[in-house]
Amino acid sequence: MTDPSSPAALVQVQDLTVRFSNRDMNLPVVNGVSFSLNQGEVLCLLGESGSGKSVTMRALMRLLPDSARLGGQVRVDGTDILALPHRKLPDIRGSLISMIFQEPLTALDPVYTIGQQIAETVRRHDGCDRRAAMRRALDLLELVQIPSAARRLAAYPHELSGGLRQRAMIALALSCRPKLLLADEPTTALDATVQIQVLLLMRELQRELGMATIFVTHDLGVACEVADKVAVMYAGRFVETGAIADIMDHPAHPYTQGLLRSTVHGGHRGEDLAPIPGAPPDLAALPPGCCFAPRCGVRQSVCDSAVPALSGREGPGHAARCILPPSQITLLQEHTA
Amino acid sequence: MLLRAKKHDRSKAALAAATRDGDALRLLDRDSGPDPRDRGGPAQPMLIVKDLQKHYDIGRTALRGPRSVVRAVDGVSFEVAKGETLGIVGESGCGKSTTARLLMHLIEPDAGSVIFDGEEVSDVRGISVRDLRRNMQMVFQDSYASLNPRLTLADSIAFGPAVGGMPRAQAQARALTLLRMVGLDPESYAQRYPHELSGGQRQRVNIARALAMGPRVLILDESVSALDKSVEAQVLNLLRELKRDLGLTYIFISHDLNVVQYISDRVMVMYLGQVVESGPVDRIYGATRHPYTAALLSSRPSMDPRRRVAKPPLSGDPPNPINPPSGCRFRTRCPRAQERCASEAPMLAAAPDHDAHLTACHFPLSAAGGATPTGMEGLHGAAATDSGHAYGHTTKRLLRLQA
Repeated sequence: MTDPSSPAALVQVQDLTVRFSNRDMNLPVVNGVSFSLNQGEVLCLLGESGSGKSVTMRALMRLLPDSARLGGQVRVDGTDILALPHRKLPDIRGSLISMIFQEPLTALDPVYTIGQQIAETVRRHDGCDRRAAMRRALDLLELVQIPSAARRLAAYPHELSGGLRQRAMIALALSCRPKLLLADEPTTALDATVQIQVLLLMRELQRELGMATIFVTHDLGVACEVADKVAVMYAGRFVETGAIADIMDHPAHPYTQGLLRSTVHGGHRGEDLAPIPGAPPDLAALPPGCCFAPRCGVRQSVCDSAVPALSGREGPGHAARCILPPSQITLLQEHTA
Repeated sequence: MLLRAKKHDRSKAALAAATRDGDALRLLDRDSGPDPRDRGGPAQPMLIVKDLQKHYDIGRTALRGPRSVVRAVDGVSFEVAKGETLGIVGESGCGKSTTARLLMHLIEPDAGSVIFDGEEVSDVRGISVRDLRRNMQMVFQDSYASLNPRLTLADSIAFGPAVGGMPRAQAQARALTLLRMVGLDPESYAQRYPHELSGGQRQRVNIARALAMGPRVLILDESVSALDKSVEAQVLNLLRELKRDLGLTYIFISHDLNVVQYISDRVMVMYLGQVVESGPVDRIYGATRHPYTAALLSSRPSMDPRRRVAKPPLSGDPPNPINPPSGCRFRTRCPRAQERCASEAPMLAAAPDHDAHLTACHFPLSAAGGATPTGMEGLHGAAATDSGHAYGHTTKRLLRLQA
């Protein structure tokens, strides 16, 4: 990962924290996330439910309820996102940063046609007339490869199939040429044959339009298809970051290794899987040390004293939040096995 | 508070009872010879399903238009042998869940018959639906929605046996035994409520509840799909262990091809309410014959950033099961479709080199080529990287990691 302070990066996130607090709860969900992203790069946030990946992404757009307390610094193309007043937020949402959601049926408005929704967004940001906006909407539907696009402009979301709906959602997100595209599990709800179509479409569009993209997923396979860089999240922290190939080839954190090991494939037939024991920690009572230590097979006594820093590993930008080097982890695992 | 304490005492007493006789469930001791419930003998399939059909009339979609019919399940036939795991795969709307519900008679089939261990369901001389449901239980995808939020876990599990006439104390004792079997400590979990548990734990409770009636068949309808990967692996291990210990037969429904490959002995692929291919798992994954199965397999992400899928194997979404295409239902998306496919619906037929490998296709792929046969390259491109062989490149890499 590039140095977070480098001025050239489009997105710079420094020590981002999100905590949900009100009278009866105080839940730290994101606990110090730093990264930077250049134009045209794809970062995948990988993690299980409750790891804070979606909240991290929503924080970049300030798309969180009032009970969320944000800390740290987020700069996107020079704009200090966390310092923006509320009334300025609609200006950046859709144009500077836009988002694709998991469930297009709930994210799209059921009482307006696809064309009306895209045109409205275009008019809000570009200020053009209705006819030009509709023309742009048609172009966008063609861009996302919706067949008979002119007819679909007048369709309501419920009239489209799941795959087309997600394509319409992508068209809407791209309508005002965002510099940063956020995608929250955009293909999880789709069938396998449709998922791969949408993934390849997003990869193609991203390459053509050259925007930076942050992709949230829990699926290693999806990350392999789209990501340049990956950040593995656990209990609101990055536990491992690096290029996708480095992470798949030489996972350095025991959690990443466990994730890869418990991924089911045909070669396992007839043998037991090696799941990560236990369950993710309770965010309300995080341990003072490494959050993964209670489930870790190579836990040391020092692991409980302080959160390990992200330290460099083999490969550019490859870093892991573990006190042990990979060679020693393998050694210890063999010892216990 | 007092009530709660009392309840706790009761559960403690029940726990003691459960440990005392150790065997409230009449757990089958695998070494003690044949299962006393087995009527047809080992050669009799556990389930024979013949021409199962369920259509839904949804009325007119246009004012004067024809009445529309959703052909959810349209002439599905298959067998499940004793002790095997049948995997059912397919995209949403292909009828896999409807098939499961028809088997359980949760919905009444329009036509077709289900024969359980040699006895036809709801036949005069056969087995009643009530008895069928004792022998066949189901675990659903949504672990939270399928538990009563107002019942403690022990009460939920004991509910079925208690309704079936078992004395309360005995039902409670069985619930505790089952909790232990699915890996939840009865001391700390028996009196909890569903909302206090994580998704994986809740799914364990659902499995325990399904086992409470002492069934011989479990239908697992997307039971691990909603779980995180590491938890999914835990539950899959549990399912394998239970199957081994209790001699169960599984029908495992999932859209995840890797999980199905891992757990199934035989696989059945469905498309728009019909079976398009079925056979032993190695044949389905290694010597694919139906173009749809091949496309499904190569739609899996590559798991290797250096060998990404270059071209989607299929375009478009599955067609609507309302008024499906004539002839072969897959022909509208099939790269090999010809005129004959529109006029004549293909029947399931055995592969020339394997009797148990059935395919419903006029122009099946040649077995030698697996998922990348001649004529499909243009369609697949690099897409078929890891689907051609049971042990593809990715698998090798993951195996190395796991070694």
